[in-house]
Amino acid sequence: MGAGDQGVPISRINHNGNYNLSKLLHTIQNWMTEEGYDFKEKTYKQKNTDEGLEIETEIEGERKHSAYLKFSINVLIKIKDQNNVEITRNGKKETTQNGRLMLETSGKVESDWQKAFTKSTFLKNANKILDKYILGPLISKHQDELYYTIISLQKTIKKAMDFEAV
Amino acid sequence: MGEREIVIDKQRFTYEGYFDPKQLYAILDEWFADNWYDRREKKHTESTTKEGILIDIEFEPWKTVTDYLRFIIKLRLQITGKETTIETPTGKKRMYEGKVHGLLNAYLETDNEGRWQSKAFFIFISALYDKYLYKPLTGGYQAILKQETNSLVNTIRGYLNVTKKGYER
Repeated sequence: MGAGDQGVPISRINHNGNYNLSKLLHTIQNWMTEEGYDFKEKTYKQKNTDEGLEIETEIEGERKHSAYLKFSINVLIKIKDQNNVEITRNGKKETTQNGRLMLETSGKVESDWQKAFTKSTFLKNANKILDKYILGPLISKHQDELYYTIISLQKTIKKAMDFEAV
Repeated sequence: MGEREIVIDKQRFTYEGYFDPKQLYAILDEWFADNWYDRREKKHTESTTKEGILIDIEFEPWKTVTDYLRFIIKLRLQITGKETTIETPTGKKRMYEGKVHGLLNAYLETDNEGRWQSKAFFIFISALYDKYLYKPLTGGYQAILKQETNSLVNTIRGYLNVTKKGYER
């Protein structure tokens, strides 16, 4: 991890009602694959409660931009009171889920992801100068691009969840 | 991040009638793009209940005006409504009938790159600079921010009132 790691602010999507969890996860995975990110499910936790299932999953997408810079996108999904429900859509019966879903998206431009500048104090200081004064504008530009890439992911997620305001 | 000066504090607006959340959202997106604001959606909540839909969106777009100053607008929209179908000259249109509540704040943020926040002495110098040397310039930027914020509110009100007049029964 380099001195110039720049984070993209967290954005949160909340939904109470019906949703299709399988469709949502596949949508995120397909989007990441199409954008060239390596998809990885970092954690998956599930717990049965009286009100329904509690699920927490963290998805990470990584893209190695160069030997020095790497982009990563994180999606954290927390679900409470999930139950399976059957709904009728366009005359057909479908099994979906009903519950309270919270989804957070964030991202980061990571410099020196190969940790080449961590071997000595001199290299660490050189890394700081490199990130701040030499590559600073470039890292900032990539952070902006990553920000708008994450907005595109959010729009895709909202469409998959049939949001009205998309 | 430096100091934030409040330019507009809790400006509210309310609308009751017919509206299309998709179109309203698209109009906001278009306004941010046309006025060179970086769009930031902090929170977006949608819930479907028996009474209808509840949408709660919090935007915090910003615009970097100079390397020292930034405009920030905080817009919160709370939309409640029931789905309905309206007859139009071009055919049936899916709309919502309900309420739209808006809350708006606008800020001037100085030292947006945080260069003067690393040491106590720098913070002191920057505070003196903001208060006595930069003040004449800040007044002009406040007026621009007020104008842009009013333009945003008028754009939202304009769309909603057109929808109301177009589809009032």
